[in-house]
Amino acid sequence: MKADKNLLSGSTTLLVLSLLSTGDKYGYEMIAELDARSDHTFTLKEGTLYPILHGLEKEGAVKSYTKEADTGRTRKYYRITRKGLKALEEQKKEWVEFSEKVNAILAGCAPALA
Amino acid sequence: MKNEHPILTRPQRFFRYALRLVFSLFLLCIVLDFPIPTAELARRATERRYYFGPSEVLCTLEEPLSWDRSYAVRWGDWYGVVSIQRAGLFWDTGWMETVKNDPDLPLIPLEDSFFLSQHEPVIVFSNDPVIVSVTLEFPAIPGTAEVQLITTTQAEGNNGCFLLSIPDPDGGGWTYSSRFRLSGYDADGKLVWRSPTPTGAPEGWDDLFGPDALEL
Amino acid sequence: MDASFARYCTAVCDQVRFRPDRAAIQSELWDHLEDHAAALEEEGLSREEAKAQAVEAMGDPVEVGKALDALHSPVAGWLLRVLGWLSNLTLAILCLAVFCVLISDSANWFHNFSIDIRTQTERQVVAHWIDDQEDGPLVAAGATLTTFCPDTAAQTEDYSFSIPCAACFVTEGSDPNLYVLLKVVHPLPWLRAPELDNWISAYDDLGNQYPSRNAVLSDSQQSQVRFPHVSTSQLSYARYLSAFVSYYIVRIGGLDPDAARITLTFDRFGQREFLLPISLEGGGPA
Repeated sequence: MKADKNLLSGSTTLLVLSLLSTGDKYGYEMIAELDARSDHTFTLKEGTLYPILHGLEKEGAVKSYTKEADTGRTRKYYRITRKGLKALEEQKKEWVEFSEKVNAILAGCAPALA
Repeated sequence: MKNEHPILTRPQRFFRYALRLVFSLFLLCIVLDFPIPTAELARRATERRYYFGPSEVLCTLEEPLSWDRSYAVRWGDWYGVVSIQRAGLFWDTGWMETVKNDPDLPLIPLEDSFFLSQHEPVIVFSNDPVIVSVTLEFPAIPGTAEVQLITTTQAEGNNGCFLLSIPDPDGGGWTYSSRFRLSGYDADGKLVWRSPTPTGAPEGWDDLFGPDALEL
Repeated sequence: MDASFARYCTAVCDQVRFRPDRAAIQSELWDHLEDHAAALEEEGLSREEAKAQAVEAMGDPVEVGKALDALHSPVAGWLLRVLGWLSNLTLAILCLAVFCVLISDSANWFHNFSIDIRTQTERQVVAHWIDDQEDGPLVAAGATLTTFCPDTAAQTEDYSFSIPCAACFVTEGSDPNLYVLLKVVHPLPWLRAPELDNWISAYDDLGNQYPSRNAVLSDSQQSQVRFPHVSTSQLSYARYLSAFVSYYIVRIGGLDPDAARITLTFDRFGQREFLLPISLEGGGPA
């Protein structure tokens, strides 16, 4: 397995990217959805979400913009980019391979040839 | 998506500012008609337009010969005066005048015959370091129609360059001769060299201003 | 009474060294806390409890702040801000300069610039010049005019020379006159046109020398212009990108009728800076 040093390899970034792949979201919206989708098993420390988002933005995987709600309040939204979608696909593949290997070891037989 | 305002990332902002800066500088260059940043560059640019140089600057003239600043320069066998003009905070090329050096002559004027005027100083280059003071004499006829000898002197030339200004006529106008005579003196005031009395001068120059008449 | 929010946000922002980004970070975190507190309130908690829980859910502010600080580098940030100020300043100076030029030179705006938007191409300049020669005094005095395009070019450090067109006037009983349209390209716009006026001289393949007008003038005591000689002047009426291109008219009077090739040169200071040979055969003087 490659040992990626950048943020795009963390499993949290995988979660964030996949959350954004279904649509633009703002910070708290992502926490709430993660909570709902994982059936309350995953509770990401909310504060660590923002360094991840800013880091992804720096790398070009997401883009941000401010949007005015009808109530007149402006919020910062994040959108996934093409680069981000590609990274998401690669990360998903890596994750699947990783989990297959782990399963194979647990089952006691050689890993299946991918 | 009317209410959306994109936030630019740092690289995007860098690109945008850099582009704006370069574009503005480019247009500014054109609007200011391609200014030259320093006087030295303007001097070199002027010389290149004349296929002169690269020259050695002898001195900066206190009073520019024309435009805004003049330098006395030397290049090989040639002496010259380069004048440049100001353009706001920057400079622009100007023009230059040259004269061929004759190493046998201690004093070389920039021009050897022209109408002397109180507005146009005469530049003299010196090949002899012994000469510290230069005198220029020319016959002139003021309003009263009696020929006079007008003298102007500069002591302490600037690195071998002497700038002689023509005195103001005292009431009435000058009738100028287009010939003049140069004399160079050393530190003790002794005459080192005098240019030959020009031919074609008004009649009686030698009588009025010959070697005897000029003993002061 | 969002003191707890304020405390949390300040604690995070204090870790971010680059001050200008702090406001954006603070507002993003505050919005998040607000949203979370609102969601908790809907679940039945009191305002105070909701806020306290929201802050706690965010985790250690110092840790978050440090992670954000690593992403908002101060050096790059300040450099970027300086670049931003510089670019805006330059743009402002540009607008000011354009404004000054417009109000001072408004009538002459197009004429005083080296970049003229109504420039003519070389072909147009040549056509204009040929028309002028055809309407000129020599033709009116009975001379025959032949125009041709010599294939010649020269290059010096700062300038490129070429001759788009030349015209030969032959009059019965006297030596031919050759007029040459000389084009000089100067890619460095602040250098402008070279000072060639009356300093171009020539020689032909028969050994005849045609001195430049200025050389002739300085030799003789009286300014008597002897033929043969070469006079040069800059073309002023054509409209062209004068920051980059200049045109000159070189007139060679008293051309030897048997000459097959004449070469233009410039040697004001003793060395020939460029040579432009012009072939006079076929289309030249009769």
